[in-house]
Amino acid sequence: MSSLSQPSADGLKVAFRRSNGDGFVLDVSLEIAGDETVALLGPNGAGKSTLVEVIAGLQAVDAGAVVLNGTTLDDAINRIFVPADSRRIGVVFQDYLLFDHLSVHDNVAFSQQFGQKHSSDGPGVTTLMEQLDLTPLAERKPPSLSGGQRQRVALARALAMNPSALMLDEPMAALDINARSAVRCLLGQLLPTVVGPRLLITHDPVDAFLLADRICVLEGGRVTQVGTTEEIRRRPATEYIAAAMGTNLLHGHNTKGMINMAGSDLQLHTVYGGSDGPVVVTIAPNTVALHQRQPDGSPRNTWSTSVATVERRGDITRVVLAAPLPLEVDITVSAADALDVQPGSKVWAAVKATEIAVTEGRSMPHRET
Amino acid sequence: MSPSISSPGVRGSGVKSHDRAGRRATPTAIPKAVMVPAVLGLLFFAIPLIGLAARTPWADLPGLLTSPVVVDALRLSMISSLAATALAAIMGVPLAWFLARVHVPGKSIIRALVTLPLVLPPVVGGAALLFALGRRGVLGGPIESATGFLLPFSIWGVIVANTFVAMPFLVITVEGALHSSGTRHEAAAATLGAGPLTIFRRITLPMIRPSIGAGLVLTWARALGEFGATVTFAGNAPGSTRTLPLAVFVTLGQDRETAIAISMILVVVSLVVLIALRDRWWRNL
Amino acid sequence: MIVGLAMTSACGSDPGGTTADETGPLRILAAASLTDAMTDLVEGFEQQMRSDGSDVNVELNIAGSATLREQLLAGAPADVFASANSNIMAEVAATIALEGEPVPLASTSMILAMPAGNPAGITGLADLANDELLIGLCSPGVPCGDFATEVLTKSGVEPEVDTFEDDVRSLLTRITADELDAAIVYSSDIASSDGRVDSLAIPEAVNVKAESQIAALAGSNPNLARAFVNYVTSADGQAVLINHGFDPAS
Repeated sequence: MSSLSQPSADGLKVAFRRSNGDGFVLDVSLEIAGDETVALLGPNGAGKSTLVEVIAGLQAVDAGAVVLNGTTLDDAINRIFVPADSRRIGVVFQDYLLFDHLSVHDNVAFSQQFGQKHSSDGPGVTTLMEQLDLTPLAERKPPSLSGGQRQRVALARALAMNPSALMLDEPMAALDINARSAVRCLLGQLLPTVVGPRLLITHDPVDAFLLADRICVLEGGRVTQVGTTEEIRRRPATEYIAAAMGTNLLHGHNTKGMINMAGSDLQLHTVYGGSDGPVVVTIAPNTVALHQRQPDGSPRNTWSTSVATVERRGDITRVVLAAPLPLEVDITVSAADALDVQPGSKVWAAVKATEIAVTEGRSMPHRET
Repeated sequence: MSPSISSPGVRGSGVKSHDRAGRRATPTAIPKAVMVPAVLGLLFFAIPLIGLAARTPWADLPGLLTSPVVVDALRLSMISSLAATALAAIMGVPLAWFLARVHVPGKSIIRALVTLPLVLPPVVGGAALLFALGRRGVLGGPIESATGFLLPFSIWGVIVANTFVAMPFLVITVEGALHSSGTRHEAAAATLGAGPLTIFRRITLPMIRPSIGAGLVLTWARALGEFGATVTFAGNAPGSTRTLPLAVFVTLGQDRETAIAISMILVVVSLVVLIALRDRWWRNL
Repeated sequence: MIVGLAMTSACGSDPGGTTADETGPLRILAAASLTDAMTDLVEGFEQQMRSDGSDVNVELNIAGSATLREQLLAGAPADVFASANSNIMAEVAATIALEGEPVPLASTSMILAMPAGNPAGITGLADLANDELLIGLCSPGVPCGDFATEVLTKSGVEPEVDTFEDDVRSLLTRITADELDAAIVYSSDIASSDGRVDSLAIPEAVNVKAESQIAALAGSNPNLARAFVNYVTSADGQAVLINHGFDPAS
């Protein structure tokens, strides 16, 4: 990661404790570089939204500090607290919190009109409205918009103040599947262009994989793991991470449901009906079957491969396959014994087309980690 | 005071499901044991109005309502009730905001104090005003000796009495609206750089505008009907303090038809207000 | 005010009956101007009855005469009515059955009342026309209001009234509390004010004779009601009234 070698003045550093009275304690230490998107994963009640509120200045720390680009925003010991209206941290709330009494244009322009403390050297309301396809909706009121449109308004509103940092709290949680993929695509294009550290709360590993440079996992108010998607997927620190992230995420290119997998000549049949182009393929480890000989019958996706590593995890055995597709496969211990899998053994892998989840990817190459 | 995100916003979906439940078909069987007292209760409210309507000299009504007694009282009532409503708006909305948003110890006592005039006999309120703002009152005395200004026996006294009795309606309506609208939009505005006063003016007030409107109309209706505090604190003189309710009281013993005519005005105005506000008032309570 | 809708049945007079047969309390409705005198009269009456060997239960209801008239016309149960003037008594008698004729109870005159020390420096009726002063009267239609109007008309003063009170006691309270500078009340009211009120006599030429009247009603206790009326017009009763600043009934 380039972020850690950059000057400490650049980016967001949070290291604080905050208890909310009913026994819950949020104790977080996290750094986000100035040009980095970190995905924040965690179960419900882990304190994800509270973390965003602390960073945005909607709650104060009990101990520790929040520092953005070298400026202390909150420091319990030195009694520094910069109020939310002076922090210039853009927040896209999970339920958007649009101002229903204002038009779409006035929502987006709110920080320009009423945020006197903010400079107006941002991208400009008109430009943002164009970029996010909101110009035709300018005079509408939020209650008459669809979920995806509201999400775009919320995003434009946060970006219009030219934020020093951007927080997105479950930006796709309230959307249906179609709007979700459109917004994901939009975020994929937008986030890298936002100057400053970005924090994306999500519970979908695909979002984290597609949109973030690193992942931070928060459980019970504490950070349980920080790392790249690959690092976390390979070595999950907790059961929650294993369950949430222990799935195969692969890039590919879709042509009428047939996916050419990146970095190999393997093609997978899927039931994907989306448009042709880059995609992310998700294959759960327990949906891949291993055989000693080429299976006959239904599964069309079969290929010959060899075993890279084998690891016992309680009742299951985690097998990692070698080329052409570095899949992680979970099989029962008895099946592993019957197959006699060892590193180097030859096996046939099979996966049903219906078990392969496909998500629209983005055209720009994802940063290699 | 920095706003905080405390209550999760579930408003949209909550309202919808409430509506759906409200439109559910009534069960076919209506128990008589419920219906009989219900109808009796309805009659209890309806019969006095029927009695009033039956005694109303409809043909003479235009003449009665344009008589100097009524015109004077009507003019006075309009001025004083509207002025009281304006005073209530200036003080009551910020007070409601304080009750809903500021965390101070003993707030239940403050709230009880603010809503006391809702349950207190108005004549007690009028007496209390007299002891505070009358010529020998705790405040009224010094004010009179310093400025020569005296509230009782003037329209100013009527306005003060009306405000005292009617403002709680605005405060509880607006406070209820502030509670149900929550603080999260205010927090969102803060992240966009809006200061506390801007948030109050540009977010908080517009979001609860319908409830402020409902509260103001209720306050006005209550002020229009105020009797006890007015007659005790401000006195009863035609042209300066004799509002419509006082005129009813005075004419009831002398000129019953005029009393009935004025009563009809008050009944009609109150009914129109309550019908116009329908569900806004009790939904927020 | 609350007016009873359901009445106890008025059985009419029963000349042959004795007080012992009569049921319920003796209900007396009395004008506000008679408040103190009437309280003493009731006490005296109860004493007299007790010494005669019968225990009576009296309910005294004090309000403005006009208010009491409204109560009576609306059917309020009552056995005795004492009005502060003859007009209201006549209006009641036109609708409600009386047990005998109304009789004069006592008389008094009107007087100017000021808070103790007369802070506004009132010197006479003419001051009531001063807009700067806070002046109170009883409402027109109320006996003390009608008497005051009569006095003012005779004296040619057009008063600048700041408040009209519903009965003389409310008016007097505003004077004792120093809320008003001057008011026209009954002379008899001054006697019961224990020095908390200053007064200024109104010249006889423009003054009035304010005569209160009392009548027994054809209620559920006609005999007891008659006995009470007899008591208050007796020497004993009149002595009580004189003691409270009234002139004896003519």
